[in-house]
Amino acid sequence: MSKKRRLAMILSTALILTVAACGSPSNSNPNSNANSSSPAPASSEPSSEPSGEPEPSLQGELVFWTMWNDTEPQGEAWADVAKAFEAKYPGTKITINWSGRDLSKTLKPALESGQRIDIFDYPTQYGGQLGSYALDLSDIIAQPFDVLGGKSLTDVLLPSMLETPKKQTDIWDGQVAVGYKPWLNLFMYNVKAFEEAGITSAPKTWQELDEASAKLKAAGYSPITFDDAYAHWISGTYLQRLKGQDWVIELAADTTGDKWRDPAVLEFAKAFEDFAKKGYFDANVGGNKWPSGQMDVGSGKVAMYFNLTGLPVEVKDVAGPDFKWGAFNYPDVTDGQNFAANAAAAGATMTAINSKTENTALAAEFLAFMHSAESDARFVEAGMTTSLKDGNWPAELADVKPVFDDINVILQTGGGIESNPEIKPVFSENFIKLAAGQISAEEFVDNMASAAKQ
Amino acid sequence: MESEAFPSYIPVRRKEITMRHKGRNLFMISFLAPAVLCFLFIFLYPTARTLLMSLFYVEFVTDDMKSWTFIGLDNFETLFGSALFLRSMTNILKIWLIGGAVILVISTLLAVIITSGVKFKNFWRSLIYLPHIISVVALVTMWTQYAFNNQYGLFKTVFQSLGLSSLAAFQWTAPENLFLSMMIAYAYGSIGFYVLILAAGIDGISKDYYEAAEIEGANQIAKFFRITMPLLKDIFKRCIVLYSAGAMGFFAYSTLFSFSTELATVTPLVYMYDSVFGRASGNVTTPLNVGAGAAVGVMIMIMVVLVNLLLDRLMPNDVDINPNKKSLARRSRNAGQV
Amino acid sequence: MQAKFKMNKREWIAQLRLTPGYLVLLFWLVFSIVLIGWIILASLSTTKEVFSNNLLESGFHFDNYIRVMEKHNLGVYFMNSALYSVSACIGTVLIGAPAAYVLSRFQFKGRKLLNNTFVLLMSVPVVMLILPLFKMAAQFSLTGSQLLLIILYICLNVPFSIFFLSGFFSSLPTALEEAAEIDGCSPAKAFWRIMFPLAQPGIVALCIINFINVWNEYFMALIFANQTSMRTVSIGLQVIVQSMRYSGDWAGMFAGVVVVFLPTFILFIFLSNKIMGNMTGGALKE
Repeated sequence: MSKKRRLAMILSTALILTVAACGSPSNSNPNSNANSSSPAPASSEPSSEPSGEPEPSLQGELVFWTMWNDTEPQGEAWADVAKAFEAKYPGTKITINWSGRDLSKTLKPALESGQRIDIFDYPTQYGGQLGSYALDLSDIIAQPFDVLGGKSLTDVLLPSMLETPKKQTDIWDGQVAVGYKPWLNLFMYNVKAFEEAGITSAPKTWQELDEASAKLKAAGYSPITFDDAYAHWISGTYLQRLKGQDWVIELAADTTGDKWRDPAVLEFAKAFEDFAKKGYFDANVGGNKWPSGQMDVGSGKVAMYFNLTGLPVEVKDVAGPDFKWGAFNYPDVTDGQNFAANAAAAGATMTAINSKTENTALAAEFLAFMHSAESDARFVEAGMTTSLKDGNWPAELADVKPVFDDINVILQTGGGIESNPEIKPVFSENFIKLAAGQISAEEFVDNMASAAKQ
Repeated sequence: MESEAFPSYIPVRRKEITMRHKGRNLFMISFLAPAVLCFLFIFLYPTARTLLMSLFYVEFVTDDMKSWTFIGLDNFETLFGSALFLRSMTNILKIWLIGGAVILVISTLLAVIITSGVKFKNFWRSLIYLPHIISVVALVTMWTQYAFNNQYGLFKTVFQSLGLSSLAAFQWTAPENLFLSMMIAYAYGSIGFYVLILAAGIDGISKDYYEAAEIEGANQIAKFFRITMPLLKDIFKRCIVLYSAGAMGFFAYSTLFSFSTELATVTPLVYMYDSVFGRASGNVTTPLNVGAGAAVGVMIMIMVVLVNLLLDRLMPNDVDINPNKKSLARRSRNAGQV
Repeated sequence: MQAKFKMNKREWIAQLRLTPGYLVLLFWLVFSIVLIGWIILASLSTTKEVFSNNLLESGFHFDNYIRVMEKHNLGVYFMNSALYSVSACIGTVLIGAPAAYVLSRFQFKGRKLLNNTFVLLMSVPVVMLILPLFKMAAQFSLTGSQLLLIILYICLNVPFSIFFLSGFFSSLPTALEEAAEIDGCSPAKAFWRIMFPLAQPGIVALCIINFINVWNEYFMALIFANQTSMRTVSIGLQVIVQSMRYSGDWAGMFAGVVVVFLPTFILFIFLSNKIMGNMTGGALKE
């Protein structure tokens, strides 16, 4: 009895203590602020004074919701940039909320319920849905900033960093957000493996990919692998190369099942069935849970992986400092669309300012600061691609830059198959089985057709 | 279950305690008010609103009722036209029926072993209960990143060292095996809870029964089917009810076993979460459909009701005719209120 | 202890017949040790060693732990989980016990209806409640505050608590209240002074169940704890795992798993018999 009483006492004491310790939960929620301030017109903000010391009026706190986690290299870079900002402008405080990739689920509810957010990474998954929360940055990007050496964001940024946000959100009026860390969807490969296999030039056609894979296999490498998370990319993109993106989007939306009976789908399935039979896919490809497959590339077991330019950062612990990365665009297929030369899925991470922020001037200053030469260098150090016209490229991505420069037609990841989230998992699963040699091309077509039929 | 919670033999001394004081009403109201308020605001209102919501097109979860558009049963039509949702229903049925049967049978077996007179009973019981107190996230990480891993995983290494190369090459996390793997992990994590309840129930059965049976020459198996099973009927039912409630809310294992929603692991709750808050994978915008999410809630609710009706039909309460047995059954039933 | 091992021949035979049972238990034990043990070893190795299956080849790497502890707000996560769990325990008892007492011992109009309602509520799935609750949280500007999860964890556990405690109160003798009444004790006072302490075994058992449930809760925390300052241990660990995987730091990921798992594990080793005893024994005494 006494023991139980003691336990009860401990429990209640613990409650009192914890309540006392965490007793100010409402501090983080000044909803009055969020509601009372009307969207401050950016034009009334200091657009003059291109020179001189940082303005003394730059005071206060900014809350920044980011898609990064604090322990990722990219997150660490952000933490450093925020610290540098606070050091440069005493009296300011940047509070970063490390939302991780779940930001694409948590941000809108948080904005809708009036949580304090001044700046946020605008997740592309929301499309134009957050338009009403994004301050029009047209004036801010034209405004000169000291941290940019008296230039404006328009002057220093790659043009695509201003264009891509409009594309990704489909909001063409004004400037909804500013991009950073541009990315491309490419075949990333191990240069050492290609050299050992005697491959002199990166594959441009499916035929050349076939030949390169054969050489890699002969040299003792597993030519290609992928993870469950990206299975629909390497596959969907083939269909896109074959029939074009609009066709794939129609295919994904099909509810009759007939469209999946199109000869093109069988041709696509045959191509991968052929690769599977030739043993070009790693033996574990059927059971790979992200990031097992990409780790295999980093460890040197597998040569190629179709992914984003951010891949080297994710596997750098296994790859080690000497790993050399190469990249090539998804090859063209016979009688296809000829995309390999200049078209690829591409995009950028976006930063937006909340239209309800109380301190637009400070938010604008922070936005400029993150694109200053020194911040950009810090991001590049973390393996992110530069957003500046005259920025440097991360050493491990040096060979990737030329591919970047060639791309001027922007496509969707997964070839457009992602446009229907209902069919995407079915497609992924069946493709994994196809690549693992568990089902035939015909079975793939049958499975897809019957799943699509409503 | 409903009538069982407050069995009729509870000695409520009504006459004495009724309306003696004028303040009695006030007292009762003040004692009941917080619970009733909680019932109204946290349960009744949301349930009603979700029911209503399932008949509307609602774009976002925080939208006011003003902006809802009435669409009748369209949301349900959407659900039944979706291969993904249908798969989530098959999955949950499998989790409930097959998973439930296997997990409860193993739990019973372990409970019988633990109470069979083995040494260090408390240690074994704690050991089996241990996974239940570990965070699901930690457990799933252990399973997916180690046990099932196809490069350095536990099963792969063990089978390899035993020379069973075909078993070593088994892809635990491939689409066709992922569901099985997930259920193994789920069983490991949840069995301890049921073992605890069942073992307590078996302990509550008088030893006289077993001794009498032993004199008649009954073996372990006969004892189990003749004595343990019938007397634990109510506890089994409680385990099934608890398991069903857990199965209907199956979510954590699904999301933690899959990077993004996939057929092998999708459950209705995952489907709802996706259609209400957005699909995390890919870079393409897909419209949110909160009304469909609400419809999923209604579907699960209907399933819960059906399951409960089915259980009441299959295992009606208080069927004990033998008055001597009744007190026993009552004791073991109470033991199961864990 | 010694005496326990001195068994006579008959006992030996009895134990021998339990061999299959022992084998099953032993299998479970070995599996658990390997599973958890490997994770601990991996957390002390490097990522490369994990992938090449040569754990600890280059000695112990405690820096994995330093990295996890330094970079993540583990303290905050643990404090939050403790706050949510403890307040859920106390809150549900404060709301549930009085209601259970009145419902199980007093006769009034609508008692049966209320009783049945609370039992029914226990089976209402969370998915049915979550959307309107989210809307309400936004309406009352509770999102982003720990108070929100405290309220939710309390209220959602009330029906079960009433159900659980009713049995305890109904088994207490009525003579106690009668005596209290004669002494001029008001019913409320009689409850808090006499009945509530008598139901303590049940209340402790209930607290343990609620504590474990809330500590490990995942769904509500995932949806409502959208800020670092609100995260529970479960969600915090998920963030650790996710970020370690994005940065390819698997050794760090396993270190995170161990850091989160170890305190609960150690506490369980010391308290397991008490927990088990209370949960089962407490319920049996009813």
